[in-house]
Amino acid sequence: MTREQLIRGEGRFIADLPDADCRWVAFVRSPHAHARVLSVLPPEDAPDVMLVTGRDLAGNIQPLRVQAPGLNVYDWHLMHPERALFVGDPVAAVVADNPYEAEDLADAVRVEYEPLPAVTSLEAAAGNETTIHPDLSDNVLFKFALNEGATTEMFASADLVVERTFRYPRQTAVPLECRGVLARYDPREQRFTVWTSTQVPHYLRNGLSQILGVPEDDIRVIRPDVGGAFGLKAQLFPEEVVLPWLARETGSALKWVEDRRENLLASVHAHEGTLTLGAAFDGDGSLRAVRARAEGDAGAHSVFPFGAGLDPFTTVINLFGAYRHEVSEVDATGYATNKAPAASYRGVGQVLAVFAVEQLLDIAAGELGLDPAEIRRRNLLRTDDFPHTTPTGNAFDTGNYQETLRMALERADYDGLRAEQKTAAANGKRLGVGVVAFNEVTGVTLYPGYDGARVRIAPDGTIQGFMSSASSGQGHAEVYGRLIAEELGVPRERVRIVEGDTDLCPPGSGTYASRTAVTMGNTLTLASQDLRRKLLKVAALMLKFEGELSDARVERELTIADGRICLAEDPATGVDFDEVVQAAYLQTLDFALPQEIVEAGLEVTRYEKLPQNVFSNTAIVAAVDVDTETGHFEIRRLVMVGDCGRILDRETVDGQAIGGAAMGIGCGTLEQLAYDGDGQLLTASLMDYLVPTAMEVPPIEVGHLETPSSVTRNAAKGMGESGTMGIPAVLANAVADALSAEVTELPLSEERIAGLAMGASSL
Amino acid sequence: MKPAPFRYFAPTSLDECVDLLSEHGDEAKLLAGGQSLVPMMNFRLAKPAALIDLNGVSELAYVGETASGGMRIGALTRQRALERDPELRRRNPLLAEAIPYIGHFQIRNRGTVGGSIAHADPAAELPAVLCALDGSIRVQGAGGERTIAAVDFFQTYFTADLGPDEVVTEIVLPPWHSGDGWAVQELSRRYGDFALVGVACRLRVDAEGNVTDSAAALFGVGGAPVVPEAVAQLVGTRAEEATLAAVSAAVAAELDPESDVHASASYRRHLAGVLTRRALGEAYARANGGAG
Amino acid sequence: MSERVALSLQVNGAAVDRDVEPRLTLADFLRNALQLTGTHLGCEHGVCGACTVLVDGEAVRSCLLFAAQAQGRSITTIEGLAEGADLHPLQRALLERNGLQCGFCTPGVLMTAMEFLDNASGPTRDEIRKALSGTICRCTGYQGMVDAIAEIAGVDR
Repeated sequence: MTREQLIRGEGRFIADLPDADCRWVAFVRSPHAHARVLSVLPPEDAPDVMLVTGRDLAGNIQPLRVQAPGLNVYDWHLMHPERALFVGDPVAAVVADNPYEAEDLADAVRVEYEPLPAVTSLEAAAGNETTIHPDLSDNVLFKFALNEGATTEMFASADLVVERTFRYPRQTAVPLECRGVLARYDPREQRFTVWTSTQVPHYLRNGLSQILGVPEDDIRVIRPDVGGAFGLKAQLFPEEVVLPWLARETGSALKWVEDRRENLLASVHAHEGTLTLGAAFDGDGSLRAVRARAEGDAGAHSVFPFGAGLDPFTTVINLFGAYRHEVSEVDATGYATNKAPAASYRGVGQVLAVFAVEQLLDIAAGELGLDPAEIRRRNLLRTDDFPHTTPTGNAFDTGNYQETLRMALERADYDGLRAEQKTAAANGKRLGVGVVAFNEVTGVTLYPGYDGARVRIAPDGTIQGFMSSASSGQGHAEVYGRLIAEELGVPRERVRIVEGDTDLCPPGSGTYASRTAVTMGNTLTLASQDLRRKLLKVAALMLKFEGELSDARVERELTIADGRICLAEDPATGVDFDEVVQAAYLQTLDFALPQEIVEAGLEVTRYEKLPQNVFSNTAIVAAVDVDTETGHFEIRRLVMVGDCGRILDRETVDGQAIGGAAMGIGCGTLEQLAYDGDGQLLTASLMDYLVPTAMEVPPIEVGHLETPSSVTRNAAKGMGESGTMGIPAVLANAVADALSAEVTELPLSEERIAGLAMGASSL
Repeated sequence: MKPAPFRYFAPTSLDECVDLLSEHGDEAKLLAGGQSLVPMMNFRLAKPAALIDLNGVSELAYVGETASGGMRIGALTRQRALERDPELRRRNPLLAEAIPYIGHFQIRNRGTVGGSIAHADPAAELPAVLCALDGSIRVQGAGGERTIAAVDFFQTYFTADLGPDEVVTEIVLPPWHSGDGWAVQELSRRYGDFALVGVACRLRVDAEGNVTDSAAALFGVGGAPVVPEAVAQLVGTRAEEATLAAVSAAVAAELDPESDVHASASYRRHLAGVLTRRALGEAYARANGGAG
Repeated sequence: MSERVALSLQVNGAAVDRDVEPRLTLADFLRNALQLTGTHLGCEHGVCGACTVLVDGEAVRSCLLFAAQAQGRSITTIEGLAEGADLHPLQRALLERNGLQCGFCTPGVLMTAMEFLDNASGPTRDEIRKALSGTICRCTGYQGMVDAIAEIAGVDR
């Protein structure tokens, strides 16, 4: 949908899809964190209801075995035949005529459980007294370790070693639109069509094919408009399997729309982990070595496709990435617990990494008597360090990190803030200033990491772009359309973009990890350029060019602009774009087009995978006024300067920067999923899981630097998560600065801050 | 999150409403603004067999005056109607200050005074304000009409002195003594959320600036609004900083809040002391001719 | 299961008569019975504001109102905002000020702002933020929305 359609309320989100012939599914979910499911019986007053249990499914669909480096592989039953592994785990599904009746029936299904001991903390998971997956010997779902160089020696000989343990809370993305699935099965074609609110249509088709045991070609996945995702919709979910399977069994079209309680209880969580981080410095503040141990709470499952290592692995390989250092020793573990599975939420892993690194730098600066800005200036990579590879293997193409920091400090008037801080202190007020600088991994090249674009010109001259990506509200179509239009020299209105339909779009990774500008954008550029050259060649023939028509020659001698293809040196001589298209399709010329042109057609499909991840970088300065009695703080200034290479679309970049920052305010100050010791989720409503309103988001000032990438064709670097990963850190640093305290745990609740202000023992 | 089925009644008079209540009793729930009840029904935490919709009982929507010059506010009066009442700040500035703290304006568009009182949420503003103002609540049931002092009405979490066949019809506030100071202080995690802790207070001073009367009620610190005894210690003082600190510490010591996912009991007690001190100080400044 | 209620009301200026189950929320009535799917459900417990519609000109959460309670009322939904091809100026401003991304919260934001703008004169940015605080957006960080409302209220810059 275009933005104008969305603003008219004409979006077609999953719940809005026509459903006159659909029956509705509701799920029966476990009230226990860990239990054996002894029996599942239909409601007493509805014995004939269509009821499907994990046992029914077990014989009919395959368990999923999520595989990736470091993962311990086990059978994941999408609906377990015998056990429930977290509160909200689906144990059965019922079918009814409308959502109200479906919920009535689900409530009345009689399930007998035998509660089992629940693992609800990292400590309990590591203790292995209860193991969650019988296939595995312990609760470790993921393990990774890397020791690059003489870390131990460097720590032993360092002038200063700082080491702390940081804790990051469990959080979840809360896209405003929950998930939902509509499934149809066509018995004549023996084909499934699955509409689902997803970021990854092609992965999903792949996963469904494995689970349902049918060829991928027999499944069409369509992504309707998506009302936000932020990583949450980048995995395969049980409901996405149960609905198509049931649609085939029942012969009915089926619909299920997740409600907010289900979304908070049983979609996916993220971010929770502990990081013990140590850094060794020289006396002048130069960082030498890093060591770290991260433990992530992966919840009940290693989710398809990314698995249980996602947060802890991403944390440890990105520590101090923006700062010079020689060696690093890290390990990461993902533990199974009886909580909802953990998967992606904007800022994956790096939310914890940036928070810990930046607070540790401030602690070190304090020990060394350096200003927080100064210790960053001394250690941030310099322009002549690029290209640069970190001890953990991250390769950076280009960057101007020092300048990004300088711009942020200047725009925020850092020295002025420090002066205000002194004045405030003299008046008994606590003003804190925080500074952070970090880089952001984008366009991840794993699983599978490529993207596909097909661009074609129809006989009437309209242009269609089919993309493997799947926007969830970032406004891809507008940018893609403009990029294609610019390449082909036609008005933007001529270009129509299709995303998120596995029958129409070439395969690829989908949309996550801020990959769109860099991988999809790159691929799109390739396809558009190829198509442009084809047009130029047809035009060249029509303009009676003699001799060989090489790509270089037609690009040199012809231009496309305003719907015409003209001689570069004589713009009056040319042919209309539409005439060229007609000629290529209908071959109405007085000569035959060469076979190579005919064969090529006016359609190009290209795939590309970047040779390496691409890193953008950001610096943020925040100033906060802390009420030391209540622990409440107000943000006085928030200045973000980002460098995402060449900016393809300023409005989109600003929207991602500010929107990501608002989410960072949530992650840093409000958002926390809390379980009790029995594994009951205490925050299963938006009254308890708190996301920021307009009153919690102050004006955010955004600046840009454009250091072109040398890896991507369009010189762009991905972006979109810097605010989410950097704001919790900068607020933590600012609050710590105001209180002359250390902040090692988030979120920055009033209670936590009041405790820090008074010394932890007072509360 | 769809509500369970129920029978729906839409009475148009109080008598009809009372008849329906006595007919259905425990099985029925009264629906006023619905801003607390309907979420609970959507979560299926409440599954009333019958819903008696008060919204057609227009005789309960009014703002009037008592014989002594106090306020009578009909139970069906929308919080938003009070907020928009240009006279409210003169007639009862404490109530006027408290109303905008209730949720968001869309909530107040539907939420009613009587609904908030009957729901008896211990973190809500109106029950505490009523207690601080020495207000009372009129209820009607099959057995007739009763008037209950606010401090006695609220019993514990979501529980009030209200029979299953009774309906709150009106709240009554004593006349506002012009020149009194007032304040509402609360802290919530986000703007518009229920307060972690809040306090509403009222002070009177004589010409010399001595406090002659003081009242306060705290919310979010237990199962019902708490009217602390220690606030009386302000009487006879000029609310000096040290006095305010001592009184608010004594108030905090009276409290026995509970811990929940948003705040621990000890932080709530601490916060109650801080907010009480600030509120009393602000009320004193207003009473003593400061900003008001 | 339970008896049905004969419901008559106005929706976006047109008279509507339907029999409804008492438990049907106004939001589901608009979306399912009338196919006015621009009113979105984001939480169904009155927090997110995506389902906000105008009832007799007042912004109300349609997930917390039963359709039966809208008897005789006049409802305005997002579909009633533009006049044919012409967007409402607030819609235009929101587009131009980057005030939406995924568009899911947008209808609730617009309906909320409609009532606010009807009643506000010369609001400050803080007052606009307060007015918006009952509608949650996860994409934009709200800044474009505040800008758009400020523009329409004539207090831009």
